[in-house]
Amino acid sequence: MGGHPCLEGWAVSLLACESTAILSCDGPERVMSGIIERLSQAVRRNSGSVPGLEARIASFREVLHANNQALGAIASIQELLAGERMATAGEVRRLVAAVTVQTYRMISNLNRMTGDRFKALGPRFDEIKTKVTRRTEATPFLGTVGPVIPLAEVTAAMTEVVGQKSAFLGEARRILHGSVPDGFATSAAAYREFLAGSDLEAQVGEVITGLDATDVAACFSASARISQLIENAPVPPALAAALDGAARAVAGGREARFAVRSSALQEGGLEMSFAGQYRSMLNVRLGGVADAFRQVVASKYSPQAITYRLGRGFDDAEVAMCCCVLEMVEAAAAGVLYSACRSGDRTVTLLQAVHGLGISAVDGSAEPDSFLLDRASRRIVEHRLGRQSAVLRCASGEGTEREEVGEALTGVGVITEAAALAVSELAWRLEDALGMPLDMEWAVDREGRPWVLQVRPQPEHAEEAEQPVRPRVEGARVLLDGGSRASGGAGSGEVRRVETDLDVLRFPAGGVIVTSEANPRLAVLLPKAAALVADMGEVTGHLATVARELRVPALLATRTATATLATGATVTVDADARVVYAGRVEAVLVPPARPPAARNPHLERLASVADLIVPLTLRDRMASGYSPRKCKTLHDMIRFCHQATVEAMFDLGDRTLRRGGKLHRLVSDVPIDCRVFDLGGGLRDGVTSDDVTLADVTSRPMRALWLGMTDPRLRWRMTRPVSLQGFMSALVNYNFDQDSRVRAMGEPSYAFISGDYLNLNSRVGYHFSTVDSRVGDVVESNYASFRFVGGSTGVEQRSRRAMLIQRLLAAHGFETDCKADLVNARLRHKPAAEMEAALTLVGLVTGFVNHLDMALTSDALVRLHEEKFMAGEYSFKGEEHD
Amino acid sequence: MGELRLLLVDDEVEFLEPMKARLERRGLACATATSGDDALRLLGSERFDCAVVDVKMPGMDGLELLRRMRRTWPETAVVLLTGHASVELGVQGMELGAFEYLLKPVELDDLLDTVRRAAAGARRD
Repeated sequence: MGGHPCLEGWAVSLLACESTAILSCDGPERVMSGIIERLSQAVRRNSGSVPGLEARIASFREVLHANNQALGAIASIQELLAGERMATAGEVRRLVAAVTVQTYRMISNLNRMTGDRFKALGPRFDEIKTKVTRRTEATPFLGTVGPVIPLAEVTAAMTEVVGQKSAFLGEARRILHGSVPDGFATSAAAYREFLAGSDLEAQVGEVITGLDATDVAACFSASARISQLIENAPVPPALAAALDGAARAVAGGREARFAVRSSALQEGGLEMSFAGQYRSMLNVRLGGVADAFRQVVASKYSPQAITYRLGRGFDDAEVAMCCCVLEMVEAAAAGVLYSACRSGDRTVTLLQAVHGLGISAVDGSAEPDSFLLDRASRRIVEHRLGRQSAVLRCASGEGTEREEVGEALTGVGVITEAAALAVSELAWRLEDALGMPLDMEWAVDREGRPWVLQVRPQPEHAEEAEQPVRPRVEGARVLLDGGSRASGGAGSGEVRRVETDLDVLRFPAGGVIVTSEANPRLAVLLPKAAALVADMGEVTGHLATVARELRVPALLATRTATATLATGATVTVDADARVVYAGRVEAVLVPPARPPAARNPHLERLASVADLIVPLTLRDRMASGYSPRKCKTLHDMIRFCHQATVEAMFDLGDRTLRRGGKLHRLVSDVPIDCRVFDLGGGLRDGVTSDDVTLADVTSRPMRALWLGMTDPRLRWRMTRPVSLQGFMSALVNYNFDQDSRVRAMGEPSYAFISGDYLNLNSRVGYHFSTVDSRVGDVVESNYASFRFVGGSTGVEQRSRRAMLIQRLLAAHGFETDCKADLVNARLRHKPAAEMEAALTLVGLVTGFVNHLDMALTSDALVRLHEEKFMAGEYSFKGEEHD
Repeated sequence: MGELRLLLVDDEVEFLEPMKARLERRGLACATATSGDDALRLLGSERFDCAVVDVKMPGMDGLELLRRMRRTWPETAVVLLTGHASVELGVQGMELGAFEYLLKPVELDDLLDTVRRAAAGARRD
């Protein structure tokens, strides 16, 4: 910072102007004519010839505005991380975008103001931004698409418009050419068009709003009502024609059949695993595609889908139901594949196969054949036969039919090893091209040709984790032995046989689900179940996936669960040891089998970037060499820009503003170093000295506030008055002052005043506060707005202080809101005397809570301080008396 | 400051018309365009203090419109308004010279405040 010899001094001491964006308090119009407008007028009057001054002031204003927006977003992020509210995908995305973009605005305005003196911030910001983006966002797709897109035109970049399933399949088709059936995707636009056609959005919203995820009966009834609404809604003619046209284009004159699958779209690009909770319509004839589309859309509101979304913080309106429509493959065999099922060793592929259509492999109704394939050597290392008593096939008319085959297929391998290798080969090609392990659904048609029907990134928990080896518990009676560990851990509860919807509704919280087929419908019960045991099902099935996500212990393919576990009996399921014991076996139940609540994926996403955003590591503002390179987080950059901007502004202030005699120091008995900039009429006529006292102040709001702040009953923690004369000498004094306590108080507050106006910004220690107010004879123009944020303690104590401030001001008629450690309070349209009393109160509260966050170690202490203040004991500082 | 002349650009007519009505009630002169091309046509024939531009539009997207506007009509400030919050697009917009990046739904007062600040800045440059 050569050329500005005093800047380092400024940097350490400086004047922290917090904000003007309290602006919302009284309508932005007024604010526009507020502080900045006045500041520019004053500047214009005094130094109209200084080039670029107005532009610098405008940038200054934008930095302050962006600073407020950014800090507000950070406060909301902290609130979400503290678990005070449910994080939704949209909100997480908005907050992360807001804080990042506003930080960028601060940097660019600061550079505009200072002739690019802080260019070094740019690369630092880019680094952080790149990391934040990589962790939170899919590549944005800017184009728009129609309701229907041929699969040949769909790319992975379109996830945000057609959903993940279609996007990946389109990409797979590009990579594999002929091994993906032809088809088309329906976009979010198609979904919205359908909803808009019958004004469904509002009606659905009415049913969904306020629904409780754990109230299974309510979710069932909501589901029924919404399904009814959707079934009664016609597909708008234009959309129906588009769907029909796309299907005909695929058929090309043949008698084609279609599979219409869900490709749910979480807007904002965050994927949701939500395996198999939506409907697929198979073997749909040419004219039936529009109707199948509607049925898939309706499955967005199946009871388990509703519960899942509510439980995981998805906003209903943010999930659009897109479809992936493929020409039907008449499968002789089909199944699922995880391209990298072993952790630590990415070369083992798991392939599971069933006779007929692949649904049986994932809906838990069959026990598939399993192959383990070694990718490097292209060899099958394990081949285990399953068991299947029914085969699902395309019906001769439309839809599917289930054929009971008894034991006829037992012992007959579903596919040959050559076919298993051919299917795996497709997966490996995709894995190479996409660069990630995949979860793939496949089929082999009657001619023996392999097809890829669905592909998505393999869920992380699909890799076999290191399984804890737990010995059998001595003396405990074993009811069931064997099966596949679909989700680890142990749980105990009362057995409930669950087969029908009625069973689902009657299922008690904490029960153990025992069922014949691992049907995905049962996902609705998982949040309240202690464990799940099924006769059939496989670890790659949908229900297993959801059980792992929710960390509910699950044992599948036990073959005998429904025969051996009787409803009403208390059992302990140890999925890791693949055993079910009679009674409650404490030995396997510790440590607790799972965290109490399902993880929220958006919150996790937010937590993964929080370290790049939230922490303030620039703690020691006293250090010289305050450098952009020291900024580790966005919060650091915000802080840095703020300091540097104020510094630049007062570099300006020193040179030009003081020349007009507008800048003064307000001297008092309290240790608040307050600088006053008179915009006109704020100080007694004829004042020329650098130092002024309350007697010189004619600004009505400033007088009122200052009376409160300097109330002798307050005990300000620091008591050393700044005694040197003159504005600059205070700075010099400051630099030489090594007393840390004074140093903590050493940053001046900065007030813009006029006869009826006040804008005061102060930074004391680690908190910032702003008062913006107008008090005059026109009642409608009067307002006062107060904002307080931060502190030097942990967020919990800071939040308690914020809560205390909120309560004290609310008790005195302010409208208030409080987010984590940020409080906003407003009062407006009151006569001058009332406004003045309110400002005096704000001053008193400010003094009262000074450094109080350290004392607020419990909520009870918040109440105690509240009582003391209300009783007029302003000197009370809890346990903090020294 | 005189009457502010504002151009609203958004492909969603359901958003455009009510917003225009509300802004006009607050004393702004508002023109609307439903696409980038539409907007360029209007800009060619009238002068605007500020344009509020949707990021995601069919055909020419908001960022492309911004790019062209900064080249040809630098005196018109551009405020981006989007329903799809994105760090990447937001920062890109700022780099291209947008005044602000607002997220839908936006409070009328906040939009109005932003537009006025943007226009004031543009007039100064």
